[in-house]
Amino acid sequence: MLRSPFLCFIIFLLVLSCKETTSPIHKKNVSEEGYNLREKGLSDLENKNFNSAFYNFNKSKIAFETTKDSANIVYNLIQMATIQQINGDYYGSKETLTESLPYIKKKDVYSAAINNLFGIADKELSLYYDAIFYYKEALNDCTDEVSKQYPLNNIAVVYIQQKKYDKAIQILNPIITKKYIDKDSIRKAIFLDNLGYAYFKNDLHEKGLSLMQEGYQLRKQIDDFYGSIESNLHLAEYFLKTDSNKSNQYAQAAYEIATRFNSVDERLKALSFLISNDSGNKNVQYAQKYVTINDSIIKVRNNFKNKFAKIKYDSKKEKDENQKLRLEKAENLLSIQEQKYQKIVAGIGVIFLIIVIFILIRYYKNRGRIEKIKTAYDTETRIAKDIHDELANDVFHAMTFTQTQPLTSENTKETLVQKLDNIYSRVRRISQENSTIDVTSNYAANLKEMLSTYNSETTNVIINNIEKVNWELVDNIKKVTIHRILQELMVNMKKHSQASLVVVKFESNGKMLFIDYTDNGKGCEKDKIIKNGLQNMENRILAIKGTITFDSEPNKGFKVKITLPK
Amino acid sequence: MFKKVIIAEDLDGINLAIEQTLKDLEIVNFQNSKYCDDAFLKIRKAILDNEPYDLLISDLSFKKDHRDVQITCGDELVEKVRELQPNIKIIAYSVEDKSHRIKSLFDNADIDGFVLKGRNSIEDLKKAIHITSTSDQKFISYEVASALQEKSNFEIDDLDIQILKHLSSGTAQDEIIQIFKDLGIKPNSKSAMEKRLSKLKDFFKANNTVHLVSIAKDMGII
Repeated sequence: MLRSPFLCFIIFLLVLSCKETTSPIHKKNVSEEGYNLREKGLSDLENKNFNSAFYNFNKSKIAFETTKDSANIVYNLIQMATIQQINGDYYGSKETLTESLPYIKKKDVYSAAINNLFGIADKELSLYYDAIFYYKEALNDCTDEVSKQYPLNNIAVVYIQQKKYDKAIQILNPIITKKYIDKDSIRKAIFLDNLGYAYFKNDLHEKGLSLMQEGYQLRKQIDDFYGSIESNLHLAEYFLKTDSNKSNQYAQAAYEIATRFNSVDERLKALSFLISNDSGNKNVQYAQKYVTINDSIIKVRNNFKNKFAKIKYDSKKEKDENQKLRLEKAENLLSIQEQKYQKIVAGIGVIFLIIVIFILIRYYKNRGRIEKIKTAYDTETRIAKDIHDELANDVFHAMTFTQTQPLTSENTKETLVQKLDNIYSRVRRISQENSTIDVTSNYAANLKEMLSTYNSETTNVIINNIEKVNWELVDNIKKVTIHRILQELMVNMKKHSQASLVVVKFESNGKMLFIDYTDNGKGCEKDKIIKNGLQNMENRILAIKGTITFDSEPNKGFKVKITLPK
Repeated sequence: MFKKVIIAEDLDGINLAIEQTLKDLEIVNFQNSKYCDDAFLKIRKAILDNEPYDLLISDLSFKKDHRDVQITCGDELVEKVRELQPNIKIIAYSVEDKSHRIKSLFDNADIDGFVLKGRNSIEDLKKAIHITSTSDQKFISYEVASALQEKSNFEIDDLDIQILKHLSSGTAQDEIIQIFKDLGIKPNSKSAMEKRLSKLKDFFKANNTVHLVSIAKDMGII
């Protein structure tokens, strides 16, 4: 397939410009290309390079299709159809013309031209009724008298072909009397010639001959050689039966001029006259020439038909491919866009998730921290209370004692030392209660020891199965919590319960640890339990995800059940 | 009596008290150090000089200060010294009254005496020095003496609970012995059983077996 580098450049431009969103610039480029191609086609047509002209008009049409410039599309199609008719491809030209119909919006020069061309094609294909119909349509499209003469002439020619000479005369007769026709000698010669021919065929020989000769003279005057072929042929036909010599002269002249103009049909017609006139040696020569020309013209015309069809097909294919490419490109762009959006959405989702997780972490950390601070604060206030309750009073008593009693006496000195020792032991106990807790292998022994320190003359603390718990598997923080809670329970017991027996029972299974505390002290009202400073214990246990329940009634002892995961 | 004594104690006031005590006992050759590391180095030097110490009096807890120390507490010091010089006498002098810690000092460092800082500490220290210098006997302050005694707490085991359960369901003592024998549970002798029962009665402050079972039930043991 032949494809000019220029076209490749346009395709390249198309592909390139797809990337840009500024379509007006792209359109402008394309329409410029369309005009360039059209000009090229016109110059090709002038030089009779029909293939190239057809090719360029087709390209130009495609270019204007993208810009939706319907006037230019129609113009190009008309040019293409004309080229096809010149080369005898009448079916092809009708196809091309049909293509232009959707672009015709109103009656104007273009629609007239199209109808005219349809008429010509149909005439050549011997579809005379159709031809007349189209010519009449063209006639309707024409707005002024001057332009109406072309379709009228054509209609007349068709009538002549149909042997309806009366009708042809009816049409042609009024025109030659019109004034405007005198200005255009070429047209006038045509009308005169056709009218004369019609009269001649209608058996008005004299009138016909004079009109035809008038036309012939006019053509000679204005050097319309191409037109004079037609006159010569008509005259040759006129003298065919009456004067074979004259007929031969005219036919010869027509043949020569037609050969000069490379007008094949006219040459063939001239030859046919020559053949029928001459009965001598030349007849064979003429016949041979006729056959050769006829063969070659059929070949050439078939060739053209094929070529035009191919050009149209190729460019259509090209266009389809282009469109396909563009479609694919657009699809790609779309999918890229989609991916982009998906990515953005996913990104936003991830960011949102991270923020939510971050906030949650902050929230829980904060909550944990607040709990820790609260526990620490509770511990501080408890220690402060201990110091106030247990020490301040005693120290104050010792102070007043030293102020009021004579220290020289051995007896009071001993009492003072006794009081101070008491304070010292209390301080030690408070310190012990709040000192660090050994969470290593000594933990159980330590815990047992702590519990046992609350043994006294009046109270037995009975411990069960403390060693059976696998303390190695328990978290350090939980060990500390257990120690502290049991210590607080024991302190409470010593302070308030007056219990004679305390049982601390340990139990454990794979996942849970159970601790039961029971004493037989005086207990307390159920609804006072929480207010009794046990809130701190509960907070501690909740902090390590355990549960603690208190159960007590007055004079029925005090029971605590602690459950926590290992 | 001891000839050469070293004191490891970080509080000046207590140092003075100990020095006074030593002077009262007519011991004049003594040194003191406020850091365990120092004390350890002095003991090593004395051994190298062939003039080893006879006695170490050591506190257990030392306050942390600006100085980086290798040995942070008295527990470590006495163990190391015992390794370095097995024949030295060691007396721990501390407010520590947790019996398991005290016990571990006797067990691991084989200390010779433990004096609890308290009302009678000077008297106790004098007694401790006296006893350890004249014999291989151990000394421990009266207040924490229970640390070295076994069974200082009231612990009951699963066997005790089984016995209580059997009693509560009306099983006679002899029958329980028989059941234990059948199950191969030891000890299952009559005397062991009686010993356990009297221990339980003691723990639960019960006057007789019926009382014991009733208390055990109240306390949620069975």
